[in-house]
Amino acid sequence: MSKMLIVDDEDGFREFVYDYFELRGYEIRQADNGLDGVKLATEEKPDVVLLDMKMPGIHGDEVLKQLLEMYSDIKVIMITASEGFGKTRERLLQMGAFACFDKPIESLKVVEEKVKEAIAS
Amino acid sequence: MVIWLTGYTCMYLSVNPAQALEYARTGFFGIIFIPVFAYHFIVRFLEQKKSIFLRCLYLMIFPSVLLHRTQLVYFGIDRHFWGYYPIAGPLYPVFLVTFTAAFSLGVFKLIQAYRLSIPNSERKTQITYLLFAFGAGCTGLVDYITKLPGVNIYPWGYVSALIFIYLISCSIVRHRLMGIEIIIKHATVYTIMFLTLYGSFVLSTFIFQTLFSGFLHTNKWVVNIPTLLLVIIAARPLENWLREATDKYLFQKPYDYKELLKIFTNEVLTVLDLDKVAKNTVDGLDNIIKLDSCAVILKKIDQKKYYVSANKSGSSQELQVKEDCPLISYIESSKTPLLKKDFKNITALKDYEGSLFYDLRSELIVPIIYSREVIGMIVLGKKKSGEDYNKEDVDVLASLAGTVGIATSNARLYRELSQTQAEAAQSEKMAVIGTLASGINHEICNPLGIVRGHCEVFLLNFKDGLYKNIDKDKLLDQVSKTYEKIIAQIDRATGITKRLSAFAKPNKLFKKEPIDAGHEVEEVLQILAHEMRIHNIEVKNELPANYPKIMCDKKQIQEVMFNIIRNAAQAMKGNGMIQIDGARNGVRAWINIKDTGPGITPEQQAKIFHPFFTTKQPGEGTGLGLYIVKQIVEKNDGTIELSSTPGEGATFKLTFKIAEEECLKS
Repeated sequence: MSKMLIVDDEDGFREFVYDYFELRGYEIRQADNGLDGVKLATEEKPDVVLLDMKMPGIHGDEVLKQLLEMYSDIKVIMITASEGFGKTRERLLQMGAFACFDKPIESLKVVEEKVKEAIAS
Repeated sequence: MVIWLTGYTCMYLSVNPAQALEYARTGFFGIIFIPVFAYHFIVRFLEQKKSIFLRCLYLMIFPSVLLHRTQLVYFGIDRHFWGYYPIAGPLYPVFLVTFTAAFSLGVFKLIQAYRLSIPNSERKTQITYLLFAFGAGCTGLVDYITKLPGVNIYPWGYVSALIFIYLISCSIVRHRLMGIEIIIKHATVYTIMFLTLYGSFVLSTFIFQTLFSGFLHTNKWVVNIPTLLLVIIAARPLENWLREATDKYLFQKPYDYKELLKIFTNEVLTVLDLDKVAKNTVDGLDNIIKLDSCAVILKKIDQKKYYVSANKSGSSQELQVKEDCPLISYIESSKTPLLKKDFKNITALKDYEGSLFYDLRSELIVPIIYSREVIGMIVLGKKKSGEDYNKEDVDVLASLAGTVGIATSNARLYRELSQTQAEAAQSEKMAVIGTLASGINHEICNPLGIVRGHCEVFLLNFKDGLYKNIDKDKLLDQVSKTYEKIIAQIDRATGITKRLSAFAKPNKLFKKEPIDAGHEVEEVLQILAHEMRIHNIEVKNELPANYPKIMCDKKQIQEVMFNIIRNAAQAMKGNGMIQIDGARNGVRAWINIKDTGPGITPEQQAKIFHPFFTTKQPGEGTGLGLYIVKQIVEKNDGTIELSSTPGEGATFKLTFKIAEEECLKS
């Protein structure tokens, strides 16, 4: 069973993502801030991380950096707010993010495919 | 005193005793009034009430006047080395007692007032002069008193009277004891009155005595009674007539220009409300000049039209000023006042029937000129006194119209400025909201994204057949829970849009009302929630539950809170705390907004409320925020203070009046 970690301060977002992936057989862990996210990642060693960009406390890019420093092969899919006009996306991909999605998410199917892709690689 | 001194001077110069006695008695007629007038003067000067004593003194005049030409007062005349001098009659001591009593009591009152008056004040100086004058006057009694036992000394009273007059004059001229003009006016009135009344008194006495000499024998003074009654009856009407005559012919001053000037400087020039300027002008002119009608018409900015700004007339009819009125055009070009009686002599107005004068019931039109432009007109109706406007009136009114001109343009500029300020405040608000755009987008898009997510999850799960094996009841339960979540997210999104549009809408109606400050702070915090969360700023709204309702405009207090809280957040640049608390303080209540930012230096503090002062980077702020905050707070009768120590954060303290209903609660 693949293990997924969702890090987002927005409860509502985590809820529907959980609903979707849980029924599709994923084991899901959740954190509502960056610090807990890093902590859970070290404890649970998830196969894939869905990471929100804008969060109180440590922002998503900082969490990404820390995760990559610890586990260079960790697969992190970033969820960003759409106002970055592509620049944020580029930067995050350069940093080592596996993929980037804008909020609001347009298709959960597409996200699922990326998640699968990440786990398979 | 003049009668006394004149009478006595004539007595000294007399050639025979009979003539001297007549002059002495005439002089005594003047003396009769001295104690009562002197005492009355002191009472009036010290602003005291008229006493019974004063009334008694006035009553004493009558027997004295009746009997002053008999042997009861002056028995006869003696000749001394300085000239003739009267011999005291049996009633003389009574008069002397009255005189002494009046003077002594008067001086006693002055001494009392002297003690109570403020040191070094002009009034104290005036009292000092009066004391010396009356003191000197008292010494004049010496020769009168010595006359009783039959000792005759040199008439010192004559000299003391001159000293008295000199001291009083000094006090009038140097220390404004009385208005010189009033003295001249009164002196004129009373001299004429005296000459007329005394003349008719003497004349009628003579006529009566001649006519009834057969019946009267020795009691000739009886004829004085009807004459005196006549004089008493005639005195008041004569005085009024003389006053009017002197006012009209000697002092052409039908109304008090000083008062008018005072009104115009205090109540017109200082007023910033355009309607009030016009209204105060009309009221002021009407109160002082007493007019049948009066109006102020003002020209609309950049237009030819005039409108009636303030009007006081007998008719309730709405006044209209026609656009193409030749009279208006004439006054606009001549820029001089115009009297109704003059307009027909003006060639430009030859064909004009004068309808404006009749419509406005006007006798005189005075242009209001500012910066060499006619910006309005004062339209004056008939004087209630029936008098015509003279040249002096027109001159004074023309210069007053200049004052009205300044006041009018001040008021207009102020109105424009307020409008500009309101516009600036609105654009600042919109600018600030613009900088919030990403946060707002997030606040609205996030809930929508979540709603979408929930819906998509259900549809995909259904499509993929994932619900097939699930129990129907369990599924329905799950779905209804999802619906609850969806509704909550939709409410969240609509809440923020509602708040935001309410906040962004221009505040057209300023309305002060009792406001729950805690609730308004909460509204603002909702708008700023995302920004605060993202920047790790914790906001503690610690306004107590019993915080009183304050008198403010609801939207304006939100703007104030929004600006201060957002400024604080920006100053902290992430990570920090904003604490809001407050309490009642008497009839006011304060709110403190305290941050843990870098603080504000004293130099910045001095300029913080100035327009366009900003410490932010270009594009981050216009520097109008706190300036507008201060304007708004003051408009709401509030105060704003800043206290800050660099490195230790800053605190903005607001105070507002609490609502009346709260005042009743102790």
